[in-house]
Amino acid sequence: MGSDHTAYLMTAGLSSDDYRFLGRAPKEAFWRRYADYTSFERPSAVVFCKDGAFRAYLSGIASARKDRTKTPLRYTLVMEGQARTPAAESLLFALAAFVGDLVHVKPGPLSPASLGEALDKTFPEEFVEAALSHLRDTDSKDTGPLAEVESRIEKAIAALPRDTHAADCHVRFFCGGRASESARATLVGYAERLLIDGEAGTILIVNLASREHLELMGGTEPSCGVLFAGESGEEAHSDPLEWPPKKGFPGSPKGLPRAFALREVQAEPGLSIPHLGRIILRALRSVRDFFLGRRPANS
Amino acid sequence: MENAESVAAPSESPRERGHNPLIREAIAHVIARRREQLPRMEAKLEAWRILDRRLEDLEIALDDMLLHPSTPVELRGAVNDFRHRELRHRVAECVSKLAVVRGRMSRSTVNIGVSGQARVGKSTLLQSIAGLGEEQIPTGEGIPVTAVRSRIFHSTTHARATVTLHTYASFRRDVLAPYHRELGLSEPADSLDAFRRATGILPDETLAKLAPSQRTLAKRLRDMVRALPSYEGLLVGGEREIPLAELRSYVAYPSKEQEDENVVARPYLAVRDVRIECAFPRVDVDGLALIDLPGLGELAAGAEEHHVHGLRHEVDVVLLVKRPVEGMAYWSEADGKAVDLLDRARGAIRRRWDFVFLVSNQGGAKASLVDAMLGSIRRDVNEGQDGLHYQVLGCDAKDPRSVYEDLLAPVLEHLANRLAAMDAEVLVDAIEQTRTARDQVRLGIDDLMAAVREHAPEMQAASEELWSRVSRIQKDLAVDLGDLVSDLLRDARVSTEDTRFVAAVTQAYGRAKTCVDEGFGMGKDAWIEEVLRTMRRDKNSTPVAARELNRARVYISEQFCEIDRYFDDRVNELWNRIAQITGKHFGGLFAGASGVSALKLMAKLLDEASEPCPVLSTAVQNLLRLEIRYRSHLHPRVRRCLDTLNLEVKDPETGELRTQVTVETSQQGAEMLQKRISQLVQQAAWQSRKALLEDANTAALVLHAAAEQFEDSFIRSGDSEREFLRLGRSYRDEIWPGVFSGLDAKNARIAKVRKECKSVLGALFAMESDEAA
Amino acid sequence: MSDEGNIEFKVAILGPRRVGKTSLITALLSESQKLLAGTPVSIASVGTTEARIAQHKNDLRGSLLAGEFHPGALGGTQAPFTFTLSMSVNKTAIVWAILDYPGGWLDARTRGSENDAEWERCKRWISESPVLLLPVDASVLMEATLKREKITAQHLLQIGQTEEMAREWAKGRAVAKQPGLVVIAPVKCESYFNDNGGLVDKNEELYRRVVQAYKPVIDAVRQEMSGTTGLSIQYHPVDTFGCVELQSAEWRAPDGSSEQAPLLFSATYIVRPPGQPNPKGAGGILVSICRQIVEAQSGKGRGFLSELWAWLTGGKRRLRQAVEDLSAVPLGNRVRML
Repeated sequence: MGSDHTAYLMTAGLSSDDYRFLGRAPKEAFWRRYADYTSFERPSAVVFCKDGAFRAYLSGIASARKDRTKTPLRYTLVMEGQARTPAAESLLFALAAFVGDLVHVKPGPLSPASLGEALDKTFPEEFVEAALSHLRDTDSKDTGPLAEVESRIEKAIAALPRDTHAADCHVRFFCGGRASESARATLVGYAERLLIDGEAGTILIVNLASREHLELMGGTEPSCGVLFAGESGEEAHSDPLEWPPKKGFPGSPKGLPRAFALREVQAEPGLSIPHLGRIILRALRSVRDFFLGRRPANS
Repeated sequence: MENAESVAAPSESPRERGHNPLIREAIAHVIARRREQLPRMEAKLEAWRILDRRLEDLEIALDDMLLHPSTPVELRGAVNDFRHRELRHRVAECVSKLAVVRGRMSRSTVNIGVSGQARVGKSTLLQSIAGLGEEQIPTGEGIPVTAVRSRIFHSTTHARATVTLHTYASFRRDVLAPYHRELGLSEPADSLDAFRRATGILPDETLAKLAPSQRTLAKRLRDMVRALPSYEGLLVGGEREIPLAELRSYVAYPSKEQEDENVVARPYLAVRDVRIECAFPRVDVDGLALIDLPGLGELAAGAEEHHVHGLRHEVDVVLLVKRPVEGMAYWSEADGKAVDLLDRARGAIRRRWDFVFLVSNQGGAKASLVDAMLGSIRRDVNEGQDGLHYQVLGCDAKDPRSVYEDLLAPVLEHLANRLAAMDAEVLVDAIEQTRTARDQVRLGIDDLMAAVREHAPEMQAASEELWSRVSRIQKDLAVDLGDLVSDLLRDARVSTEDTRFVAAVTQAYGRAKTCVDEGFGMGKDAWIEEVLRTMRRDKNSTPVAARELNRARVYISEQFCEIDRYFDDRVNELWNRIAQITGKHFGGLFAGASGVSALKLMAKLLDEASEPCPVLSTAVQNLLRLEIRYRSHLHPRVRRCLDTLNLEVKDPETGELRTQVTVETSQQGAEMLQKRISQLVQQAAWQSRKALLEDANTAALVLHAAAEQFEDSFIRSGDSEREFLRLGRSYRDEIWPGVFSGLDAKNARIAKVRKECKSVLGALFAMESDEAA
Repeated sequence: MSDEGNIEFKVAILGPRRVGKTSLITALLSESQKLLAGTPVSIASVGTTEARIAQHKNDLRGSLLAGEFHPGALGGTQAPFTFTLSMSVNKTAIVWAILDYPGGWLDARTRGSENDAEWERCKRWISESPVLLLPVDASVLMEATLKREKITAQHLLQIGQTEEMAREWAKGRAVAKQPGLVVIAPVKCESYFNDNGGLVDKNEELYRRVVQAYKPVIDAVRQEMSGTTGLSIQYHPVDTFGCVELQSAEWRAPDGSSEQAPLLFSATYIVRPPGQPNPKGAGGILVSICRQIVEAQSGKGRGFLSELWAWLTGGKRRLRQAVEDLSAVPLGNRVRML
């Protein structure tokens, strides 16, 4: 990777109880503004794309390593760079794996899945412990093992499958539940538009918020895809959104945040007006792409 | 051989001859009592012999000291005073007295001595009592015939004679020597050969010059030499069994006819002693013996002394036989001498009539003579009152029935009544005499030691040196032990953790944990299987749960008991440190030993010191008894951690018992039980570990207390200083090798005297403590 | 403060990492609901707090079902989160806002520069809170026996950093002449009490150890607020789960560490059958906060508490009644005033 992009990895280990970036840390905790909508300890993602640059935050990536209290450890991956670059493609693969792994999320301790396993391979325990000790004992952020962090992240991502299971997504606003295969595929398709095509937009994977919080989270964004990834988010839906939601809608900033009850699990939606609309839209895009000579994104 | 039966008087049925069974029992009882006394008497006798040897050693040491010119005059005077006390003589008297008593106590028979002047019918009497004849107990007309006294034992199992023979040495000593002395001759030939060559002794012309009494003796001596060939072959010592029928020649003087022959055979000269066993008719007293005493007034040299000696040692009662015949039917001067002799033999027996009976052998005697003799006895012996001093029994020696009824029966009755009292008198007398003598010896030794102390100043210098050295040791020890105690106090107060204790506890905890992890020693699956089987049998999980919890509780306790090894190490370390300190200051005393063995050696040396040191010894022994045990020191505090390992526990909120584990009888239930019990055991083990580590200082506290206690009793107790001095004196040369030898050389002789004095005192103390016991 | 019928009451937590703050808040909510049962007033988590608590309960339930309990499995906080519990009747509510943040942030060295800005916000929050909640891991304190274990315990409890922050808080209180409530709340106390299903009573020892360990913190607060009235320091031991008890603990030296290095602590817990959470002792914290509010009515100050009281008095009759009723609830014999 060149100097136009950076990757950061945060984890903890036997040498440190506290989650710390191995080496340098992002200048700004840009994901922090969503702290009330997700537990960063569990799978969460924040990806911003603007002016051809991206900033991505993926957390709650379970590792097979455990800490001294036998608690499974986690990774947080932060990447910054330019869209339409190999770095952006790397992020796409990482995000695709991350999204795919959400299927396996259960209440209770996290268990490692594809992204975590890939990271575990390039960040074996000895390396992590050495890096954490180095971090503890020196002020230097990029010497010793810390100098290897980026290249190891790159290596881990390179080992991930190239198949992103993306589905075409042509809407500006989108939300879905992690249990919906279509929602997951759509989110990855949306990410493709942002990272490969360089569109502006925001991707949020959150585990505390629900539809009620949509406007609070993404109301000001020009384009936004949200995936609800709470353990109870088996809720399987994949909806283009009218955005912003109407005033007074539950979750409106004017009202008291409501205690929410999670919805009953829905089956994969059948034919509905929005769904039909999406099918028509997708067909139109395909025709357009055909004339523009583009290959379908999901081929 | 003529057997006893054939020589016995006409036999009568046992019923007729049987007499009062009480007498028989009383006499048996006396004999048994004597046996009980015997060991004590032997010990006493030995103690006195030891004392005698000690005094002898002391005499030698005193001689040696007197020889040395530096011995002060005052000390010489003290030695003289000491010698004037004739202590050894006193001791010798005691020895002889005790020997008499011991002899009396060692007798297994009641011995009746038969004495009397020649020709009073003594032998006839013996024949009548023992049922023997001329071949065994010769009687003679006119001349004395008994050459060797016999001892005749009533025996229902044997009829035999056993002859003890002289060796030349004993013949020379017992037979020849008295003649030589009496005749004023030089010592007898000292070998048989020389004696054989001495045929020229006492030629007739020499003989003629002698006084008549001596002439008889000389003649006899000459006869002995001449007859040598006839008995030479018998001077071989040892015993020989002789047929009763052939006994006569061994016990009787030659007959008149034989004497007339030129060379007379005198085998009796080789005979020391004759012992006859045969059944006494009429008598039914076990262990009755007759001792034939040589005739009183016989002209045998040394006879009187011999007589007294024999009486004292061997007889319980004496029958002094008199015969009222013409010329003898009165109390003669010889009779007076005889009773004097018996009086000496009586010894401690207070009453004359207890020991001597006068026997009037009046068979066939004229009544007038009998009366005359009894009158004479009444007048001259009994101060006009019959039986005042002696009882007179009249009988016919020739008539066994008369002998039994008139003589033996009353005598036996007397013995049954009085023998125990006589024994007691003898015993008491001996003890009193030995006590007196012992006190005399003690006084003498005390005076002598005081004189030595006073007049041997060099010894004082040595003891001052010793004292200063001992007190230096004591002070140095106090400093070092004080340092040790402070060290231990610091360990106990400052809560530095003892890593070894922590390790010991951690290991024990680890073992308990491992045991749980491994399914309580049998593997998890096996455990579950076994438990399930038991549950099915019991149709209930309660019994097996209770059992397993109990087992686990015991197991955990056992694991923690292993901590004792650590405690043992700590205790050993303390012993080593103390042993090192004492070893440093006591020089070569414990050389070669270290650690516990040094302390054990120390305790032993303290105990066995010539001047024992009980306080110091106890201090060391107490230290050696120190033991820290998990069970006694820690378990009480850990125990409550194990309370949760009971099936039923008291609910702290309701106060009711509640069952901790109940599961259903199924595989799943058994697995749950396994899990639940494992958890409870792990919990209890962890709590125990915690409780133990919270008291990680226990060992340090106990060690400190023990060391302080040792220091206190060893250094600071009231008797400590005195015992240190004792220890110093007892092991002076081991503790300070060579230091005192210079002083010793000068004082060796005095030291020797002191040492011997102490030995004598030791012997005296031993006697006293025996008596006290 | 909301411009509608809501008022926000900030509560600050100074808790070391992994102490179990979420569990404490969950317990607080559950016990508060019990306290308010049968009254027109209700208390509930609002916004994503509900999901967060639900997440926590799910994790806990999963853990308890297995019959074993590993508090570590509940994870550590990675970013600040504001728990909001709304105590409401009709349209009016007091919103208890409890800010939680990674315990490691108390230490600048482990905070990470990317969090500096956020930390400033947290500090501001803390200084504005009338209540300082100090959760303490009771097991860490109680299971330390050896010297090195005790040193590690001090380290794990982040006593030094807590003291520093508590001093800052107290200073702020003193400057503003505002009363303050410090609640020292040992958590996971169920192993040391026998009034909630346990067999062994070690509550005196726990109290002794807590007071001993937190003496520097208490002293710092007292010093800073020596000229201010209305400081209350209280001890509220909480059974955060109620149905677990310590089985064993482990103090392990990290591989290749030096003699002085802190040990690694871990504890294993037994789930008491039937494994239903039954927290105890957290409700008292709400009661104490309400007392603080009620006591502030007599104050002449113009601080937050007086404003709150004025707000309650201005027509929020039922809510005020609820606060007054809560303040009158007895605190029970576990609670001690320090």
